[in-house]
Amino acid sequence: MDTRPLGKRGEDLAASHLREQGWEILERNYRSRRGEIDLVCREGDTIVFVEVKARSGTGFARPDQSVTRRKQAKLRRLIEEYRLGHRLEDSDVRFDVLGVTLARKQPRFEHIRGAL
Amino acid sequence: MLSRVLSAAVYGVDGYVVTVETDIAYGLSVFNIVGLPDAAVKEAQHRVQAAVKNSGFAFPNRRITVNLAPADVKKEGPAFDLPMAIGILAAGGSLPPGSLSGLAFLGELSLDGTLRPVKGAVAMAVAAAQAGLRGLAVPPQNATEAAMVESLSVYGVGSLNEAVGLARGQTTLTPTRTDVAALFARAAAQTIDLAEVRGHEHAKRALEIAAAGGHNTLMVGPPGSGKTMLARRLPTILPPMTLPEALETTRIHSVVGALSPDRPLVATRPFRSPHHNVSESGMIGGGSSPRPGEVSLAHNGVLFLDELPEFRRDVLEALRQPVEDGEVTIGRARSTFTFPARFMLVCAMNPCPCGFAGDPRHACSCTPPKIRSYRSRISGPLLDRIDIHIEVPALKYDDLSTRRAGESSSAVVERVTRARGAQLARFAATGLRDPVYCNAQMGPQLVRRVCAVSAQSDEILRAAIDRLGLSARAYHRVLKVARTIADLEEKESIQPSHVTEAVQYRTLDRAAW
Repeated sequence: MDTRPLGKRGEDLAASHLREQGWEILERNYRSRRGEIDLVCREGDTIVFVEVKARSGTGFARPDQSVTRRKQAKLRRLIEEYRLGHRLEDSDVRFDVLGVTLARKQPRFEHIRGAL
Repeated sequence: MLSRVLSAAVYGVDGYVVTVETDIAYGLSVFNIVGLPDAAVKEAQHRVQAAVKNSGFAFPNRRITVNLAPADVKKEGPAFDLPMAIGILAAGGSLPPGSLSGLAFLGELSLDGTLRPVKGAVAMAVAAAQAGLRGLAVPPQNATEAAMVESLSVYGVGSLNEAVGLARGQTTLTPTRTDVAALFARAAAQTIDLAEVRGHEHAKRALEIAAAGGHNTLMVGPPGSGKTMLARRLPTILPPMTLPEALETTRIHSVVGALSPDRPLVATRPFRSPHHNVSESGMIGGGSSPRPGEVSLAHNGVLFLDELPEFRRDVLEALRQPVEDGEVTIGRARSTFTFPARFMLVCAMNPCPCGFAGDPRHACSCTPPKIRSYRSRISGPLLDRIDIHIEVPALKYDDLSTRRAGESSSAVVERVTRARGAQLARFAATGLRDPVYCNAQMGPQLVRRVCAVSAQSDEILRAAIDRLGLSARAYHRVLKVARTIADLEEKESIQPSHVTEAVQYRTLDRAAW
């Protein structure tokens, strides 16, 4: 099954959801050799890296559970790299997981703050 | 974003001050602990995080680094939980700067922020006082023992919130006061008495001599004859503990967590009776960072080995150093530890495997080779260090039912204390470099100087040695014991009767053995 359309829709929904909360979206799909981050945002003074987990239905694992230990380590390195590259050493950073469930007409969001 | 909180830890039986440095930096939330933490110290991060949150504070979601200085000594146990939590709150700005100066913290946190007791509070309090600190916050269960260190204000804090209140100066906690002298007087009462032992006049006399000279003793007798009962009462006829002795022993007991709020001071001479399957490290102390063993827990008291031949041979061999030197040295790759271990050794054994050899009323079912192999389990070198051998026969009915109570411990201890006093005065007069506290500790030179015997006594000794086949070492033992018997009678010179009695206490040197 091709999941790209689902993933893409999920990310769009997540971005607009966060904007509604007053967040500023700094980057979408930040990529480097080390990997990629779905969204880089600013919430107040804190830079928040967001992994969007789109799901087409309920009844499966919680969205944050699909971030494995190995992926966590990779993300940590990626985030450190981003901070250094963007002169963000002196601001708070956080990593959130935003679950988006697309089962019904109205998408449901599940926001896990400080997942790393 | 950096804080320093003082704490303390135990190295062997001595405490030392540890500085808990906490840095909070921007970054993804990480909690790193450095400074050679063991597993329990590393796990502190989970307890600290939960306790801080559940005490109503925000836990910083940042990069937290905790350093336990000095960083080259291994840190063990959960006592750093509280100082780490305080350090994080201070680095996060929850505590005013300067509020922590001169104040040290100790305690294990539970997840809800209440405190659990720690081991070694006395030793750590001593270290804190030596470092010139003004106060020490400990879990309430440790407050009484820690407060025995008088130059330090000890606060019993029940939770993280109370500790924070103390640092902020909000709660007015009164320092715990321990009246050491009163505690000492109260705790020094004995609960058992020599008068409870009926009969066994010969054995009691021998124990009195052993107590008066600090002589190591071996009791031989059939099962149930009262060897253990007698041995248990030996601490009651030893001179009462002095306060410095009590504090020394208390410190060792504190390190292994053997003290409780209702018994914070070891004021009576300890009586340690390890089971015969004790391991070598259980007996002399051990572990990767050694903790004191039975010999050190018996410091200033009595170490009783019941069923002596059943003890493992390596365990008995390991006893030789502490018996000889009054301390035990444990070597490890990084360092050596020396623990005090000055105790009286009292051993008990059956005369044979079935226990009835020599008993007129029971037939012994052991073959002579069996008896020989049983007795040979005790090594000569250990037996050499035992001055007094006592035979404890099974009692006849008349002895058991006698109405006449024996002499009480308080009467005996008076004579024993006087005899010890005479010995100390004599040793002081000889002007020795190494301190000798009792007759049993005399070396051969000293024996020659203070155990001169008359020609008549010499004749008795010669006959005894010839007839009983005593060794040269046994000869010295006899002289020392004779010296003690004379001291009990407050005689400066050793009389023939003293020598005769002393020879009696060498029964195991006879050919039968």
